[in-house]
Amino acid sequence: MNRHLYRVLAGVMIGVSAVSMTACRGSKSESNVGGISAPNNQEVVMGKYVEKAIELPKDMVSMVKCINNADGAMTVYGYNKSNKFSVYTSQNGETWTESKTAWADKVGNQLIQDIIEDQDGTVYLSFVGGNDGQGETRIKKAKADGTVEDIKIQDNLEIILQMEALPNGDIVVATYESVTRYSGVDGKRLVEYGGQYGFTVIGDKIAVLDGTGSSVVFCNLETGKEEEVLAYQGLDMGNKIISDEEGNVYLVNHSGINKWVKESETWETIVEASNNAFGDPVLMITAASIDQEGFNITFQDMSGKAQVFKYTYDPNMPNRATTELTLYMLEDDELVRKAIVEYQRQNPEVAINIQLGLGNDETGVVKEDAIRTLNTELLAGKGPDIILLDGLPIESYIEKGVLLDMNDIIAPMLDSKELLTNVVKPYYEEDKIYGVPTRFTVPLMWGDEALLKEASSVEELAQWAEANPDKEVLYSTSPQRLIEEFYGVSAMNWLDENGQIKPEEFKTFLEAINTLADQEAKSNLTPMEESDMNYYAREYMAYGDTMLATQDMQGFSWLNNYYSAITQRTNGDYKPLQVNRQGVFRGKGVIGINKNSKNLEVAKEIVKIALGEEVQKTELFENGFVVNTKAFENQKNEGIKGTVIAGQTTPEERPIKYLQAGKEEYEKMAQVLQSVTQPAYEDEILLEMIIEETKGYFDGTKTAEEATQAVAQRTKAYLSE
Amino acid sequence: MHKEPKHISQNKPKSDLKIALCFILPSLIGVGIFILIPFLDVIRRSFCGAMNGQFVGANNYITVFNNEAFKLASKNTIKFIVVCIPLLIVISLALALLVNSLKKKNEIFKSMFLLPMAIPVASVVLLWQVIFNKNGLLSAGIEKLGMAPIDWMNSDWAFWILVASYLWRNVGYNMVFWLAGLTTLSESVDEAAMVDGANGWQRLTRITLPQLIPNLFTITVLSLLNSFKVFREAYLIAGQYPHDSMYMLQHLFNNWFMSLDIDKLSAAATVVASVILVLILFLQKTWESED
Repeated sequence: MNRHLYRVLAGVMIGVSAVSMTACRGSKSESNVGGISAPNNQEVVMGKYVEKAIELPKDMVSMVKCINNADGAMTVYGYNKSNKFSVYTSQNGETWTESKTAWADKVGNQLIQDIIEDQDGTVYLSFVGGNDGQGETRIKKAKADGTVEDIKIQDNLEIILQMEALPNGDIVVATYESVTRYSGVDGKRLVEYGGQYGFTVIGDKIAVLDGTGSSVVFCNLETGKEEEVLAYQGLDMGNKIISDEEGNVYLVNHSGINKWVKESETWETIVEASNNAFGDPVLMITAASIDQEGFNITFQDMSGKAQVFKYTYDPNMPNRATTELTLYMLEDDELVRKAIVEYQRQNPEVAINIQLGLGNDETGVVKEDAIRTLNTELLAGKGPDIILLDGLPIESYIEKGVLLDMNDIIAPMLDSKELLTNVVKPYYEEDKIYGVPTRFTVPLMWGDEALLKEASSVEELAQWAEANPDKEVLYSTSPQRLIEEFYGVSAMNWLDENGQIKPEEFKTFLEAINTLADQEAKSNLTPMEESDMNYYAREYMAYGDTMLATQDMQGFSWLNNYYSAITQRTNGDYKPLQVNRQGVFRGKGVIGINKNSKNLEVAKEIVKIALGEEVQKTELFENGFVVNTKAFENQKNEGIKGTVIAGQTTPEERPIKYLQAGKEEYEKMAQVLQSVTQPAYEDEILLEMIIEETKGYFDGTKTAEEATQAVAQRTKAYLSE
Repeated sequence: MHKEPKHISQNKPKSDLKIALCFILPSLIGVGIFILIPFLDVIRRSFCGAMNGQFVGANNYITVFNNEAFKLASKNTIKFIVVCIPLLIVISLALALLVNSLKKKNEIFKSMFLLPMAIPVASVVLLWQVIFNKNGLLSAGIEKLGMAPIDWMNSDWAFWILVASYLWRNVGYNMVFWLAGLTTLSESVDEAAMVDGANGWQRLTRITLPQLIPNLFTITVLSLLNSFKVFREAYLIAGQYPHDSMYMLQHLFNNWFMSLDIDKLSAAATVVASVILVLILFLQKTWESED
């Protein structure tokens, strides 16, 4: 009996073991490893919305509105090259003809916010700041016969986000604060619907975006009474709401186009943000409409230029991509994201999953955990295909053979001068290149011409400061901030070939920092205070109170400000921080390819696109100079034209007369940027240790020798690893 | 008639072995999959390049033994074990003897000494920060005595704080093991010795401690293995690169993984595992010979 019982128990245990093993195997095959989804063998479902860019009229410089008419034709309102308000129409969205309207010349030159048409063809226009420019909101009603009437709106709305004329002539207006119905005759407020940002009228109802950002609220159009609430998390002013004739509602936002079928409970994403304009990080949705063929979505890029895309359903287009790749980046990089969108537009059969190591702020993942996860994937041979190497142990990845040598794609680009050689070539190790920067910044010193000729490094600046004790070299700067600024430039001087700290040289560096630093300066400034300190540094340099101001130049947009400062100083100039007489730059958006990728050719194409002119000339405000030669030229030319200007508003402790730098100045800056050849030393851990261990020296509790010894001791294990 | 019992006695052990194997199987499979097989892979990797898998002979071991960081981490880890384990054994034994002598109230003390183990590591770390920060309670205390505040975790004190923390967390756990051993001892032997005129010290050293030798092996091995867990506290409070004195092997392993130095990591892990295995076997041998 006992033996029988034992056998039964043993059988049960074996069974449990076997089942648990099976369960383990089953769950593994179904899950995605590290967020990378692999294509499976499921049958490809056909049918997908296809994006098509609408080529807008070439004469038009600034578009106000694109309206799809009931007959399928399109009307575009905007300003032409002569800044004249113009109207263009097209039957196919390809060829445009300028239409003469009887009222176009009567609306005045004031900037138009929005334009709508009612069923009778009457056009309603709203103006920025109103007619009087004092914030009073005015809407003009322009009829086909050329008559233009003013509608003085009862409320001061300032910025109108959306406007729609009802069949009875009333107007519904959405602003940042409200959605309100006004009389089309005298502008009197009639009904307040609650909600904000946007709305859509569906028969006798109006659906508005709820102000709390969590629902769409259906109200009675006449009474404003709330009738139904439809949950949708994450609504904001970037959402556009539209509806079709059947009463289905669509929310258009950066996740794509989301459909709510009338009387259902859930939302369905019918156009996903990936290989289309929705996934483009530099585009903002400004308008959406629906017609018989599909959706018409207007986007605006960072320079304010409008782009219109049409989304139509193609039943013959495969719903799933046939090839999938993964791109890994610790933190989001807009330019790389732009490259992904661009590649997917050209190759809709390829899907590229973006894996963000640090995720958004809510995930709470720290850098160490993210790198550990990535390394686990790389070790298992299942790592991402493309890796954005910023913040990752690049040297180690190169040494371990993780990355692919990209010489075969980079060398031709360098030979044809497609890329800036001074920035890309330093990334070569002998004849191999494993990571290539997509952008770069250059730390520049601005100020006294004579001093700049004399000094290039922090040590030389300190020597000058000691020889001229009556003069202040830099505006109030904490030792910590100085270390952060100069460490990447000077590290090559005080690190030996084994990566260990050279005590004498490091001590000199510390003493130089101590000489230049303001001991009273607070070391824990908020980002806003840091920003203000930058402004002050420039102002005091401009007035000659201090000799220099430093700035890590991230784009041509700052040139005017510093040019104004050194012009005011009269004897001003600038030059990059140097090490061994070579200008230093900081590579950004360094991109590499996983050697073990199964899609090496696709990965190479993506890298080429990321370095190509089309993607590189995208305006990414203050995000670094681009490495593509033509795009770099374009950046410079946009600067000359004054398209993008930064930092005109300053704290103005010492006001600087603002000047627009001329072509010569831009050319000179371009030359300086193309002269830097030494990548800055980047090691966050080492920097943290140095700051930590040298605090005692700067607060007077340690000597320079003791601080140097403490740093050497503290970093020994790290640098030996 | 004569052969039948013999036949049964021959078969019974075989059957017991099968049943025993069946019961061990689930655990064995788990240990095999999650520990033994991966460790075999680690040994394989210790003779190969980091990512290319090419055989490199003993190069990784040579690199590891010449690595300054490995030397420092090994030195600190050995120092930590050598200091902590004897201290832990002695203190926990003393406490166990003390608690054991309190016949009625010993349950309360047992619970009290086990309490540190129940406190989450994150809370312990928070406590450390409150106490040992440069602006913490301890510095405030010494400042009142006219001394300068100390950043305890970034000074040579860091090692001793780590030792104290380890002892504080583990002393109750070990004490329970000692108490378990003490409860198995026959009181009659002790009483007989007392009748024969032996004093307390003589009874402790001649009767109690010799009988606790079998427990010593288990407690030592557990203490040794637990000593490696102190890394959690050290890592949470001081990150990847703490003060030199508390830079342990686990810090190094963690950092090597971060930089994908799997070759060095595998070689060092093999070395450390071998040392621990040898140490355990040595202890077991010693214990068996004592037995």
